[in-house]
Amino acid sequence: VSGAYNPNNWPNDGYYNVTEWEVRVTVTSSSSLEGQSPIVATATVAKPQHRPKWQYRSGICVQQDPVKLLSPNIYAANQVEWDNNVDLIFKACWNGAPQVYLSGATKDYSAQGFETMFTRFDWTALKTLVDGRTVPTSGNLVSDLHYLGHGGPNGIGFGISNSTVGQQLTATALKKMMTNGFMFYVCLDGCMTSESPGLLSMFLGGVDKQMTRSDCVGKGKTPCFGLGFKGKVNIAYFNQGTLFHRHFTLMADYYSKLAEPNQITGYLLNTFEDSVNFAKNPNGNGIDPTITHNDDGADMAYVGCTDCFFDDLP
Amino acid sequence: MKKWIALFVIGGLALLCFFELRKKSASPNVPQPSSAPTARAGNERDVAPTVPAARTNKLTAAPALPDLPEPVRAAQTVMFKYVGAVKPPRFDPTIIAFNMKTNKEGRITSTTITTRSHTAVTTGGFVSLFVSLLDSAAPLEEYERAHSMEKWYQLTGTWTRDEAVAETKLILQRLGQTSVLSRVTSEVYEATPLDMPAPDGQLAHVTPFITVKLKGEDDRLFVTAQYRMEASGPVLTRWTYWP
Repeated sequence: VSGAYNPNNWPNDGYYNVTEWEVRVTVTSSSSLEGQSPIVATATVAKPQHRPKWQYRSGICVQQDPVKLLSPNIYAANQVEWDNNVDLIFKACWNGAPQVYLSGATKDYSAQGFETMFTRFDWTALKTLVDGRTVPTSGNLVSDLHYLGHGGPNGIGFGISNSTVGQQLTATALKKMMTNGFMFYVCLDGCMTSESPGLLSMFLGGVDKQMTRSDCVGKGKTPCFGLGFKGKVNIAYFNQGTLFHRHFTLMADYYSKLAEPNQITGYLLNTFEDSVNFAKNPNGNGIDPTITHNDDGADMAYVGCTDCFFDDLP
Repeated sequence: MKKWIALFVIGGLALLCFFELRKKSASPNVPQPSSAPTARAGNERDVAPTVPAARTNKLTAAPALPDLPEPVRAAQTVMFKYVGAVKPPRFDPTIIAFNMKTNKEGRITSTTITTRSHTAVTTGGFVSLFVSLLDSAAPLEEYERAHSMEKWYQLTGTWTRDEAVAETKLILQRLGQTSVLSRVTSEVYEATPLDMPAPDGQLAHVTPFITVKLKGEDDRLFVTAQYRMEASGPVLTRWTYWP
């Protein structure tokens, strides 16, 4: 099994361009007792392919149907604020990759809002987009996912009941699906989605801890990043007469920072970690000038390349 | 008659080309004050420029901006204070772009200034980001980003953890941020050795960049300092400060 990796080509080149590496090591002792043959020890290490080379990215922002419908009496002004928040995240995600509809067709930049999943058919469409088995040569149809909705340590979506069968994406299902390609960016804006790194790592090819950009360069790893929440999250904007601004302020500040470009070249200025840090502690310089420290950020937890950029991968 | 039609068509095409060229030359890179993230086509960088001219066009040849607005002049003063304390090498003060970010009340929350060598983001009275456009691990200049790693084999400088942390704290002190310095509870030192190929094919075992992070309680990140490990000594190429 042969293959080559030149770190100068990172991130366009991955460490493995073959299905499997097999390293056979044989060690022979330099001296042996007279009359005896040299002592030989052998070991074989097989390493599966980490991820195919990605040339193009595309992403999707989705919300689970009830997130918005939890707000039946939402005031018009709040509706505008909701729409602005969602639109900000959607447009920020364009800096990482062109966004698509659930159908897979490219969404127009001027289109507003997330894709909404109402039925199990919508969930099936999402699964098709993130399923690494779908396209044999390049893996997933989308490399970036922003999800807003119910979550848990073992999946996103509803719990399984008669009325909601099929309206979830579980870690177990992901494990089966992600056999031919993993994702670059995943933000799971739901409860306990990073209570343990297991769920995020299912999307990211097993990456379950933080690493540096240099680590990625040296090991030829794809510069992936996953963000979630360790605890419960107030993702319902308007629930039981209470407005939850702070969570949306947190996400808006995170994405505003992440998508801030250099004016001349267009390359993004801030790393994932710096953006999270800013969202947690905007010091009055975020979307809401009254927030210096955002308590909703206490449960934010992430894995992957901390000092990478949203536009690191072409 | 056919000759006249042909002449008419050629003339029309020439006029069209003329107006198209004029339109392009009349729309230079003008900074747009905006608080919204900027979208960019996903694959516009798939084909890397193959000539250094691209670098010249974008940065060194960009015209200086005259008549800066007052908030930008104030940010420029803050930036010069930082530059005076840190003394970044290869700093060119010529401002070629700026951007002011506002919150929903219209107050300016940060100002970004791009010179021919660096980008600085100021927030209030301090520099929250100062990054080299050419020398950082992820350069912000098109040509450099495509080719910078080819030169990493030359970065043979070495530094210990204690030296790197001490230098970072010294910079914070020189910037007058002593109260933040006193709130630092932990330091993170990141130095990943890499085997970078030289043009002759030989592998150079180097640590091209060393990063130091200064953190406070609850893992709050105050400072991230990235140093380029040149043979002549470490050079600060990226500084983020968020008290």
